[in-house]
Amino acid sequence: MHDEDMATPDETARVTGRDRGLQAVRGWTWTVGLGSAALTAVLAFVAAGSFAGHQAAAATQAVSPTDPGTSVENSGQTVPQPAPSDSLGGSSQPPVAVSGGS
Amino acid sequence: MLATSDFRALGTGVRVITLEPQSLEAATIAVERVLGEIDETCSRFRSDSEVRRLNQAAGVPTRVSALLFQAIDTALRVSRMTGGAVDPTVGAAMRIIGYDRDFAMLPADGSFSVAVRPVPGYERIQLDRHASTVTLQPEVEIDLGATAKALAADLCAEAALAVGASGILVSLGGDIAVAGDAPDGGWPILIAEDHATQADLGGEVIALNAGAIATSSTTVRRWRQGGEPRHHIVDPATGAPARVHWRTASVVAASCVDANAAATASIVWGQAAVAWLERNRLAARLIAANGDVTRLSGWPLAVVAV
Repeated sequence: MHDEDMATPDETARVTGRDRGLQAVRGWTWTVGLGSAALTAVLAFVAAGSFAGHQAAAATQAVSPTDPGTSVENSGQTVPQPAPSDSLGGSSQPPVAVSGGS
Repeated sequence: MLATSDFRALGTGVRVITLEPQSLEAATIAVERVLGEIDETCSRFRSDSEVRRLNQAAGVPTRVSALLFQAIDTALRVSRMTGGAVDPTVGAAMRIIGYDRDFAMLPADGSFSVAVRPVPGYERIQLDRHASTVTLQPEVEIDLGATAKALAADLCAEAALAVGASGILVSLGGDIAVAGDAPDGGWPILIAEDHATQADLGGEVIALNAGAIATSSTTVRRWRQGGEPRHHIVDPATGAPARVHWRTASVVAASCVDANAAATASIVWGQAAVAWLERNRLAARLIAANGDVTRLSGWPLAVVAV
């Protein structure tokens, strides 16, 4: 080993200071990265709540008759409303209108 | 004593009946006004309709009128209710199968058929209630046809009551909404496959005191394309006319929108419609392709007027 290969006290101080700086930068990098991820999560949550239609569309897949065991009984708008009870009967009167295809 | 007026609108026959003659004129004017607004807003056959402009603005949030917003909102509710069996994004499919103009103007045998594909799907329509905007994703073309007609029937009945009719029946091409008081014994309505059937020719008659009835049929709007038979009820899953298991479906519900949705979906679903109608307690009369009749959920036994 040659004496020329050994660092001087000044060089050692510069290297140490450089290393401390790099460590500080690394720490800030982690902090900023975690903060960005957290902000993204918050914004995603807010965005998801703004597009309720997608949620409603997904929730009503059970209405298809191909899934006879499922129903959406209490989802209000997605359940057809039958006519009031006793509103329908047979009639022997001459009809006043025709319900047919058009 | 009932009073009746007949005229044509939305490409079909319209009948307005009031319980008393003095209410008929005002009721008819109110109905005409509603139908005019529906036509200007929802007709895909008019080059100047609002829905036509909306279709041309696909991909862009577009501010729309309250009526168009309501019509689209209603169509989306119907889609959710039927799991997509009735879907407003059938616009392109209707053009592809040849129904690209008022039915009266269709040729006897249109161009050769082209490849059909599933419709884009109602989930590709976004509504912003605060901004009153509608956004159609690119390549989405909406057709509000059946739902808009049923909605019009409901709105017409409401409008007639609002101008003083004590009881009203409004029929738009066989989609019938009643409101207010009913005649003794209910409104007698002939059930037929074609709404143009003369009422005095005899057939099955029901009495309706409240709500609405709608009939969907593959037997009326039929044409040929490249020699192949077509009808106007598209199965959204394929983009082609629905395979005919039930050729006609009549359904009674609290509103004409719900009745029409159920009737149309029944054509699309075929045999699977029976369980859905019964589960939702919707009185229905279904005619199979071979003419057999199925009555469900309290549909009255056949009473034939002579």
